[in-house]
Amino acid sequence: MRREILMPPVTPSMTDGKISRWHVAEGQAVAAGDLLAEVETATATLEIEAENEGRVERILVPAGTEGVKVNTPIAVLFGGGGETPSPRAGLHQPLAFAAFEPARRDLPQTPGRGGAVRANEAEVTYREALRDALAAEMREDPHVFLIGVDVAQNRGAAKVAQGLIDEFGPQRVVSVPALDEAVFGIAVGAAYAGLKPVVELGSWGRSLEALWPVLTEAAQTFYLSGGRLAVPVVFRGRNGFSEGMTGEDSRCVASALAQIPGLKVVQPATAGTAGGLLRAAIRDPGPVAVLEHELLYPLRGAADAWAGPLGAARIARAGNDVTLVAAGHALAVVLEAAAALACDGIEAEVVDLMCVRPLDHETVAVSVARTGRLVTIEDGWGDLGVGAEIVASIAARNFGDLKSAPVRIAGAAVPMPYAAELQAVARPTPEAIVRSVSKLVRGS
Amino acid sequence: MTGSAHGPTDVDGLAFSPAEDIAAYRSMLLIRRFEEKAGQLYALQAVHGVCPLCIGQEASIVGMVMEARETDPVVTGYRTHGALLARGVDPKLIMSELTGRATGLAQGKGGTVRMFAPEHGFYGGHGNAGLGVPLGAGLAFASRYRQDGAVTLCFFGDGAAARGRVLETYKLAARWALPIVFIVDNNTAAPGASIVLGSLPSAISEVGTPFAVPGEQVDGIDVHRVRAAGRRAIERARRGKGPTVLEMLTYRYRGHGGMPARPGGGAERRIEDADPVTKARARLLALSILSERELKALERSVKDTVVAAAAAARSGPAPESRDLLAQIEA
Repeated sequence: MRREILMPPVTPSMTDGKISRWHVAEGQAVAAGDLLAEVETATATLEIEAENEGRVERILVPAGTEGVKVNTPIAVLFGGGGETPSPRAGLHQPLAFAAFEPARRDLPQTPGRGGAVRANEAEVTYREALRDALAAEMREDPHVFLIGVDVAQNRGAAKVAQGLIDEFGPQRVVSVPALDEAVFGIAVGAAYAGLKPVVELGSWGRSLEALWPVLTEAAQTFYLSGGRLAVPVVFRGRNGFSEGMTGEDSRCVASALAQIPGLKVVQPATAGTAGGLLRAAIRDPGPVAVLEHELLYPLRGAADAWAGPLGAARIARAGNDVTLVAAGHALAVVLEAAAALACDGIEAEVVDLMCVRPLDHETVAVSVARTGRLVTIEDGWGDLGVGAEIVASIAARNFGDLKSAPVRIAGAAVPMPYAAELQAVARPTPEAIVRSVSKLVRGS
Repeated sequence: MTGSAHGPTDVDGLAFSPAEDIAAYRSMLLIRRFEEKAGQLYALQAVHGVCPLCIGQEASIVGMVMEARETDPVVTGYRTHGALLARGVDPKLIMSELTGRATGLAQGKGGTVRMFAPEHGFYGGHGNAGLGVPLGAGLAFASRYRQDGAVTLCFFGDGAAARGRVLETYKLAARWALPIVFIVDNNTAAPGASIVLGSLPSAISEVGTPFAVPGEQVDGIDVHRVRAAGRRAIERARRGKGPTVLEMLTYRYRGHGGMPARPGGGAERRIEDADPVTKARARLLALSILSERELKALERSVKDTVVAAAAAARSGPAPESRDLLAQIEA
């Protein structure tokens, strides 16, 4: 049976968009859930998945084409029924490891987000940056392995593990059923024995219930053993808001995890930093929590734009009027706000914390010493949160530098509700940040 | 695989050499005297917090550790001292940890529960009931990953045996045929669930059955029977056939921190017929492996070791306050 794949509306108001890339080639077999193509508009990026298994018969709209109308056929899929593709076929080849995949060079050059930067073979999505970092560490160190629910099939939204099974096999890409308490404990036990497990979590908020005892154990064992046993385990996965998801499924756990001595907590915000941060996390001799974000997975950036030790912040945007501090998804929101503020003549300096434990107070202090104004932004609950910690630190270090009282912007202190209208106001938006910062800087 | 209360023990197939009988007795006696001393120090408040003792459970520890290789990992719940001693960790280090000295195994940071000695293949020491079970399976996972041929011994108590994480672990351990033996010390003294040895049926050995983990009840008072069961389970695991649950029927005489295990003092009534140390000593005499005089010499030597450990534990230096913030991260 032939099925046409139609150009989807990324947002309800979208009329047309761009096919920025194809993840599959003509003739290739795909399984349900495999990524087919990436669609871009001025404000959003979406990846199209195959709804059924089959074979890509024809690609009707080449990558790089702009102005593709919604509901235009973009490809023809043939199959279903008996033509079950091998689980190792699928789209693993086109997605496989940008760094050493010569076929990638044949992809058409397409304008990047905003149209200013031309994409090239060194530009990757956040998702690919994480996968390439995993692959690189697994290649270099045979002790590194990935474990999680369906990591071989990589279903679910993240798809970070896509293709890893082909290179490393089921011994090192270990798919497990959702027996969380056992799986998390087994990973920590394997780290006791000197392996370097990377555990993929479906959702940090949801996993925390089963994870807390072993996370505590992993974090405190080095200290309580008198330094006899290090626990080099990485837990990584989607953290925080997910559209339509409520309660713990949409909860940001950054500040909760940052209260555990012995645990490092990393929140990558960009495709450029995600790979370097994950590599540093895997190489760390102790336990590290890596908090990813669903809305960041498709975003692009220069590959490997950052490498360094965990615990260092970076200046994501330079400015002199106000210091904005954030990490993870909130940083992406802040950068959007900073661009809008610049149009109004306010130059904000944006500090990307990258890690919330250890927290780089020094970089924030140096920036505030220059700008005299501090605004912290986080997706999680503000009470006793990351922003509270930074404000306290700055109050102690930079009291004399401050031109005005610091401002904290945070997620509403409620379990994430369901209705779209409520979800929209439950977390920091660029508009809210622009309003707060303008008022702070202009005094009105 | 499940047997009666006394199990398919096959003791005849596992003759101890005289040297092994002596080593087993010495090891069990060291644990007994150490725990008695620890209980005294707890009463004197030189040990604070909790102090879970394993008096009465010596055979299940020693029989299993004797049968394992030195490189086979061991993991326990919060009852750590016996396994640490059986693994050859210096009693001074253990006792000094109980008294919170800088010279203790964990430099006074871990106490009774948080002791780790990876150089002896000992991986804790886990206070959260049943948490050591998935961690132990992780050690076994690492052995399977590396193909190093090791078998993990995972000790826990009857109180933890029905925790969800334990059952989840059975399922994965069976699925991957992990090289691990789950050793449940059914010491009949789980809080709120006390049973008396032999008088009530227990089916802990069958808890793994729905997950295809076979089990066996073992007379945990007899070190010979423990070791025989241990051999079957360890060989099975080492051959790649997967995990086994061994339910050790034991009788713990002392409560946590030296208090009576049960109200009413029922322990003393049974001490003669259910004491692994007494039983091992009687065997040495009956088989003329050691004379009464030789036994006394051995017992003096064990006592001296424990007295020296206690002396070191009382005189060792306290940790410095500057150590508080040392070694938080690896």
